[in-house]
Amino acid sequence: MMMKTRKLFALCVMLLLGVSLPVWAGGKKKVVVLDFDSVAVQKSVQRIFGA
Amino acid sequence: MDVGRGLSELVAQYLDVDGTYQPVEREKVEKVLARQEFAQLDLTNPANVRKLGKALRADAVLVGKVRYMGWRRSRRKSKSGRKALVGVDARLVAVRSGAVLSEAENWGVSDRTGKALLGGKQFEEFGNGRPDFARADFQSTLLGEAVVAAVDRLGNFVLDAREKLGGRQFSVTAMVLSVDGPEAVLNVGQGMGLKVGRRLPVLRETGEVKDRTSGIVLGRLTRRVAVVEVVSMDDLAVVTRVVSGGVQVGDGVKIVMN
Repeated sequence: MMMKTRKLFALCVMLLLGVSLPVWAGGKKKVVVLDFDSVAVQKSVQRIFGA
Repeated sequence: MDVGRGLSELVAQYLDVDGTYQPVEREKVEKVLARQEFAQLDLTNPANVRKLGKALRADAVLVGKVRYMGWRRSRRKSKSGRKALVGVDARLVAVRSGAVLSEAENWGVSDRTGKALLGGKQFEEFGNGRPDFARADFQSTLLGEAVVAAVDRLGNFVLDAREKLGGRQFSVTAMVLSVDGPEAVLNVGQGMGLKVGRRLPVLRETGEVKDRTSGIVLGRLTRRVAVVEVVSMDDLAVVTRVVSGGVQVGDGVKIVMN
């Protein structure tokens, strides 16, 4: 009886970890959006905006 | 004029509204970039990008290059004019592994044709620093339409790479039940965990991806057409206010659960 309870407890812990760990590791990921390099279009931009 | 900065700010806003990512605040990025160790760093090298990402405790870094901005070249001459075109090359680098998760050319074309990229409007203040591409009067020009389309592509390119960063994230798509002036009602209740003031992207189906032989629909193509903000909610519905763009009954609203 004791053995069965332990096995059941271990199974519950494994299930809980299996379900919650991927979710816990998920969520919003932080991303850095760097300024894009625009050297290649500088001339066109000057023509379009006159700046 | 720093169009690269204007475009990257628009992409950061796009990702922020979606809710899948949390863009790191510009002030924090500028503070770190001003440090001596980062001042002369070549950010075309993924190893250096990783170093910067680590300093900012980020999961990923998006690096881009504006490839083209202007008229779309066309062989045939049309009386109604031409379309505007914007192209941005982008690369998403994972900070933990240093791997390039995704790399793509993102092109945006204006919906309309015309003879003036800016529709005869002047945007002199854009020349004083960063151009504000989020402005409604700019987005209503041909070039503005192309910029929005390119940012939509770029934003989706980053969203598609989310699962490569590990962990799981859940999202549901609510539907717009009714539109009354600036108000749109969604078919989800307060059980979704939404809060007043949260902004959500509105998506409209633009096509289907079908298997040529079986005819089975493999996926649906969507495009962001508007942004709404939660105003109030009850058990059965959420009332939102349209912040930008236009909303129709039947449009989808993406809600990322975090």
